[in-house]
Amino acid sequence: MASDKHKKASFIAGIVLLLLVLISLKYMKFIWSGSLAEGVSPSPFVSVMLLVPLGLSYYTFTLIGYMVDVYNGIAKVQMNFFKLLTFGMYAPVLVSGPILQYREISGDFFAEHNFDLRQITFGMQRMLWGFFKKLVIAERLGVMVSTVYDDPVTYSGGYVWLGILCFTIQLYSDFSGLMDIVLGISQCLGFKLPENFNTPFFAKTVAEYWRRWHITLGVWFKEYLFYPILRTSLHRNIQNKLKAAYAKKGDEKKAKKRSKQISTYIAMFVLWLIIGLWHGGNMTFVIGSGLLHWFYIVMEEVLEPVFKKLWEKIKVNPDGKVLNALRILRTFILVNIGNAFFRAPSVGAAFKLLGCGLGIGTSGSTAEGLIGSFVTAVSSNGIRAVQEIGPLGLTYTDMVVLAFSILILLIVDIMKTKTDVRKSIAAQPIVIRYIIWLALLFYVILMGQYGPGYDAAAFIYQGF
Amino acid sequence: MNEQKTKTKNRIIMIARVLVFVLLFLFLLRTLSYMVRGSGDTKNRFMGFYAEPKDTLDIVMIGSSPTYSCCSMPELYGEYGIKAYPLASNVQRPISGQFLVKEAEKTQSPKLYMFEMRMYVGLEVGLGGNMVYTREVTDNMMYSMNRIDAINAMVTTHITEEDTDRYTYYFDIFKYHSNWPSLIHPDQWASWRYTKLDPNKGYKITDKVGPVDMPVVSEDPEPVELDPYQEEALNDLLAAVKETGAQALFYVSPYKLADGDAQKYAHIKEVVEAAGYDFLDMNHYYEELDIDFSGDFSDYGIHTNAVGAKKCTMFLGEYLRDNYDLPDHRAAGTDGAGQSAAERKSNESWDTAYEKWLGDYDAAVPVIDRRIEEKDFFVAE
Repeated sequence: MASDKHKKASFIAGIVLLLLVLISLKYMKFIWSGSLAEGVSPSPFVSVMLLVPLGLSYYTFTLIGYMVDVYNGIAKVQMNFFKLLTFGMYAPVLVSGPILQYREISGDFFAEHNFDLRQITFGMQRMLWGFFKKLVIAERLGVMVSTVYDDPVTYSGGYVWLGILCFTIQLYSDFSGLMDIVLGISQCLGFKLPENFNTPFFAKTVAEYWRRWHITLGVWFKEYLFYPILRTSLHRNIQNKLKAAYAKKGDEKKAKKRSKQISTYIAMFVLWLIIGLWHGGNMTFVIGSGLLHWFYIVMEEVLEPVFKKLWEKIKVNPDGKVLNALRILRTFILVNIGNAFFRAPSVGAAFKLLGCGLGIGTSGSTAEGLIGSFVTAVSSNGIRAVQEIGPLGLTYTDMVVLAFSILILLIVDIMKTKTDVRKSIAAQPIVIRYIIWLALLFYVILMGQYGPGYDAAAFIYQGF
Repeated sequence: MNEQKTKTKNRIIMIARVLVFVLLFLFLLRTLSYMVRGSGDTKNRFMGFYAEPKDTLDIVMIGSSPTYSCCSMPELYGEYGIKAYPLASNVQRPISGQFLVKEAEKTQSPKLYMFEMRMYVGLEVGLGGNMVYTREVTDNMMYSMNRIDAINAMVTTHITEEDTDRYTYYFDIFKYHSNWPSLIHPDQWASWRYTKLDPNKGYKITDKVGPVDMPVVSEDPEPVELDPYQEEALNDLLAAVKETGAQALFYVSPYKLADGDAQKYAHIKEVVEAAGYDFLDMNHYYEELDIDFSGDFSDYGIHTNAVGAKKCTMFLGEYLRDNYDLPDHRAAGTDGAGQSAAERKSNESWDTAYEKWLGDYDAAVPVIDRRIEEKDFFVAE
């Protein structure tokens, strides 16, 4: 009994300590930066307080997960401190994850790894694909996105929607590109890390989207926050009170179902609020990657029976291809709106951006039309016009490269839903394989935006 | 036993496949590097040098821009039968001289090296502080160990604090990759091996005019030491030339000397002559050159235009004929009798270059005359 108490106390102390470090170093930044008057440079003390260790939240989450699993008896304690440190501070994942679960990874992580050329080859291929996404696609999209987000009034209308769409693709190619690099490095070293993406833009619902996007974050929050919330006495009390209130109105069975549903929505609210806060103290994150998605998911669940009845009434197959395609499109649009908040500098700016997209508060776009400006440029400068910068901040050549590269990305993502692309390539004759990988390699070397003259932006998820 | 054999065989196949892939990668990396390097006269000049048939040049000239603007190599061939080629680049840092000698020795065995000395009187703060001057050399050399040595010696931060992005010197494709749209030009494809004859044999013609008063040159200045970096570069260059066993002429083309230049040239003369080589300062021969500072320079006393270049070339031709035992390739005739295929090919291209020069010169002279008459002088961009 005394041992259990001691165990629990140690566990709580460990969790509190880890969270204390995270909160004091990561979130105090907002307090310190908020204390600064505009235009005033911070004092040395404040400058130090503004620093955040790289990957802080990732290894905090990894270690919390480890402690919870050990406490619950589903993971073995690691008695070698340096081994635990190696696991917690595994360098490739520090930048942006994936968040590791000790019980899933440790076996493979600490096992002896022999030289395996196939694994090294596959790992390098995956890294190359990551560089393609980051350097060829994300960096180019970044220019277009900044152009529109910095001046939504000029680019109101279609350009705003294009900018929002571009940011969603940028975020995906940037973050999943980094994951490809991290997983590729790990594969070269001989072990497999959990996937963080699974073609998220083919999700039919927002809930499914979150099972395909930043998967390890979703798993972590579900296991270590959402389920524990559901097990709290507070949650049970709320559920019981709701049940009692509904029971007064009649059907006991319905009351049980409704009270469970609503109490779960409340727990989900807390979950999504914290997911939003995890992305940063800014309200744009709280809405863009938190509460707005909670709203979407709740609405999906609430409206599900309504739509079910509707499909029955109008005799539409609820699992038909067209309906599924429309669901994918709807989910994609909803995610795009959330990302508009995620990228905008403030909530007000996000509303302004969306307003400009709808033509509210603006008298229309004053930016030159893409095709019109290209025709004008060609008529005055001939073929050299392809190297001129178009209205979205990129040269026309870069736009063609971008469109072509996104098409490749789309094709590969579609293929990924049906097969393992790398294994399919590996099954090809050696000449075909060499052509594919050398072509991709030199495509990245030539078309990538890096090196002198470029300011390759940091990975978007690096700061979280 | 059989299992062991199969294992070994598989390993060999695996290694062979990796090797083939790496070799293909390196080959493509090299080829594409050459192709995406920015087109321009320096690239053409260096490619032209590599394209000259083996051991067919009499002189290799090394130095900065006056090297290729003051002397017309096709004229030198056409009038004196001497094949001289400049491994020269804009504001060429003296430190690069020793590496260019080694580069020249790979394909040529010139009887004479000529070094234009104008940059040796410069200060390292101006030369080493701007990495463009380094890139003019390293980014125009073929991939080789000598190029790596040149980069190691030249890409330093002893003067500049700018981030040198060193890896982009070794693999310049990482700097010029954004130049890929230029691959639509056939010229860029032609540079895939980095060997393409230069129709001007390295010379750069100009019909611009920028007059300046004729400078007064001190006849017997007191020698003054060079900037320590250039002093070291000169000593390294002398050692590199010594290794080749070739003769060397250290020369200065005519220009408007800055204060103190003449004193430094006096010092260079002492050092060079002590090492057993010749020194020629053309600034002491304005009369013999018949140079006219009011019309023979393109940019106010820095570089000669076509007319000035012709005068300098004739002067140099006479000097070389009088002082060195260089063959007259014109004497070989055009029938090709007794010539190797390489010589024949070389002579043909030099004959063509001379004809081109004559045409270009004839076209430039009236333009220069008109500009002098109308005072239509060069304006720096």
